[in-house]
Amino acid sequence: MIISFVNGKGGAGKTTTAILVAMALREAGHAAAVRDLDPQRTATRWLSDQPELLDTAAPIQLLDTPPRLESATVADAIRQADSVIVVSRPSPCDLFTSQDTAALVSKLRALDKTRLLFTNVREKTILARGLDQTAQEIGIKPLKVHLQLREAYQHAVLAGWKALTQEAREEVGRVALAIVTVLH
Amino acid sequence: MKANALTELRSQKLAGKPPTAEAPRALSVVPGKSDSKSGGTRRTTATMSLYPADLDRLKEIRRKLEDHGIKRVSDSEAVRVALRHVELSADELVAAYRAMQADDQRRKQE
Ligand SMILES: Nc1ncnc2c1ncn2[C@@H]1O[C@H](COP(=O)(O)OP(=O)(O)O)[C@@H](O)[C@H]1O
Ligand SMILES: [Mg+2]
Repeated sequence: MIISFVNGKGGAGKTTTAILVAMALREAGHAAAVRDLDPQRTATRWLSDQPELLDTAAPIQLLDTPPRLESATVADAIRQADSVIVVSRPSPCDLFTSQDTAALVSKLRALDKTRLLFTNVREKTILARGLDQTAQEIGIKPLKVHLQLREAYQHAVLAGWKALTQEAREEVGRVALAIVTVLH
Repeated sequence: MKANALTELRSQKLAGKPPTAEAPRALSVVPGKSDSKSGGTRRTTATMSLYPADLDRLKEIRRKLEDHGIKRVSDSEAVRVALRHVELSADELVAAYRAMQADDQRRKQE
């Protein structure tokens, strides 16, 4: 099973999200790993202490893609995936690239297994309240859950699941569940 | 909201849907003899193993050309178009190679 995390913008949260979702799936007993397709090899570096998360033979592969929509690697990742997750920050500055990303995905495949996932969300802000509106402007169906902006996530990509609070684990678990549910 | 997402995640049947196994299919680029002449330039015959994803890609190249009125593009021509068109950027090539190796490995394990 292949799930691709895409967005044309660097810093959208693709790598962090792919790693967190892989961790949650593993915590739940599923053999998932991140496949690092970014030439900058961020995921590979971050996961140097957690090599099991880079297992290319794991049956569930979460593809972390480079932030370049013109790249053939990204196009392949979109085409090959069972499901595509467009990762986006809620900020208006990220809207345009997310729209471009959505346009690319819809050019390459049907959108039924494609979802938008917001990350770096700060609850109770105006941007957080406008997520549905932002999703509409991007043109991709949003998952019903999102990832908040949490410092713990930055630690977890290096230190592992144990760096997360119960609340953060629950949040990532909900996101992972929502993602695999798309495939049913 | 669910009380415990991980518990529910645990009960999901995911292993039942492994990546689709792709059987290798050889594509003879130029059937027949090896080295021959073509319009005075040297031509080498090659036989290569391609997988369905590669063949789909070739078909797509052919279709794109057909959309622009270029009909009857052969497999060799499609491969040659791809070679001419490829971006010789180390980053892109290394990333593509890694992804290809990972695919091959996955196929072997199945
Ligand atoms: N939910 C989050 N909470 C806090 N920080 C985050 C979150 N998601 C990403 N980040 C941080 O934002 C930056 C960019 O994220 P990254 O995953 O590398 O994006 P991309 O892979 O899309 O370039 C990193 O410094 C990362 O630690
Ligand atoms: Mg990244």
